[in-house]
Amino acid sequence: MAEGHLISIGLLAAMVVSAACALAVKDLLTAAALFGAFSFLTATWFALLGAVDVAFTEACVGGALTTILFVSTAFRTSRRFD
Amino acid sequence: MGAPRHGGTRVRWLLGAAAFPALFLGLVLGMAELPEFGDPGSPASTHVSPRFIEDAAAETGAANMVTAVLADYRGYDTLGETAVIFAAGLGCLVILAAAGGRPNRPAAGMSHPFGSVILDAATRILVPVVLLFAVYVLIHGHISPGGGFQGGVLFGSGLIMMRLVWGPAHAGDGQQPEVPAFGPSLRGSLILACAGILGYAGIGLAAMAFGGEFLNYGTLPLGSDPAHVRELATLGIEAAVFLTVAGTVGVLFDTISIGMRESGVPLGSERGPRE
Repeated sequence: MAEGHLISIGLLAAMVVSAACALAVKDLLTAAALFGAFSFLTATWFALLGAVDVAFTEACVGGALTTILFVSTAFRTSRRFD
Repeated sequence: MGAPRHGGTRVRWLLGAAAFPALFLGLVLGMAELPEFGDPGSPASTHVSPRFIEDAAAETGAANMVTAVLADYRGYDTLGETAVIFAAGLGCLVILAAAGGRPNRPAAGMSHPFGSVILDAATRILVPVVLLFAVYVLIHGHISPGGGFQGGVLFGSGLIMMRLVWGPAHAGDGQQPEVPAFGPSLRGSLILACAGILGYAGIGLAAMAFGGEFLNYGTLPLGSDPAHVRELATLGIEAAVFLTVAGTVGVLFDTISIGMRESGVPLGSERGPRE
């Protein structure tokens, strides 16, 4: 159980860091990639909790689809947010 | 981020600084009241779950209880969710098409491909596997994690990946419409999404026509074993969700790329067109 707790804390800390970085960076493409990383960490955490179906959905939608949509949108704007 | 520059920004920063600890404290206090993770004495474990754990496989023929609950016991909720996804695609279509796109024209995805030999070779290998895996996820949703939603997203993502790399097959010359490089056009995606949501509701209505309640598949004349009938109907429902989600994903991507393109912003501001 202690190991599981350590992994959980590590994942949650990485989620907080990636979310904060996604807000802080000026480059929209970097922000989209960081948001994808956040989604992937969320999916891993869901899988750790035993919610494999939810983890699968999060990995598909958050990790893949929204990242693609964000990137294709970012390519069509000025790409930088100031 | 950065230092506050003018009054409005400062007020927003102060509001945020005040709201964050309050929300954080509320969430932490709320979590302390929740039952322990995996607690066998919690209301969900004593009252709801045992019924599904004990009877779901025998009643619905689905070894994956999540699928049994989503597509059978709570089929009405899933119909609502599918309709929400469909509505999101329609909303994106209406807003972005009104901003400059012409939805009657076939969508070309991106105006210029990302293309390079490596990307092209990688997608040629990867995309067929993704599409096949999407169908596997749909069909295998009874037994393993997965189902129509995940499969639909995977299928749509595979088609999008191809469009990102290939771009349009014909750029179009004003008379001839642009031809999509891969997968259905915007109109085709929309038809897929409509067929999915109509198919879902249609299965529910068919159950009514054979004397059951809306979405109570047990009455459908598909065989004598009720669990097997439910299994087949659940697969039909999952396939309908698959179509809706895959179609909506295509509509979202196409409307984003057309809407933006028609407003005059070229793909990749740093790079010129490839031709």
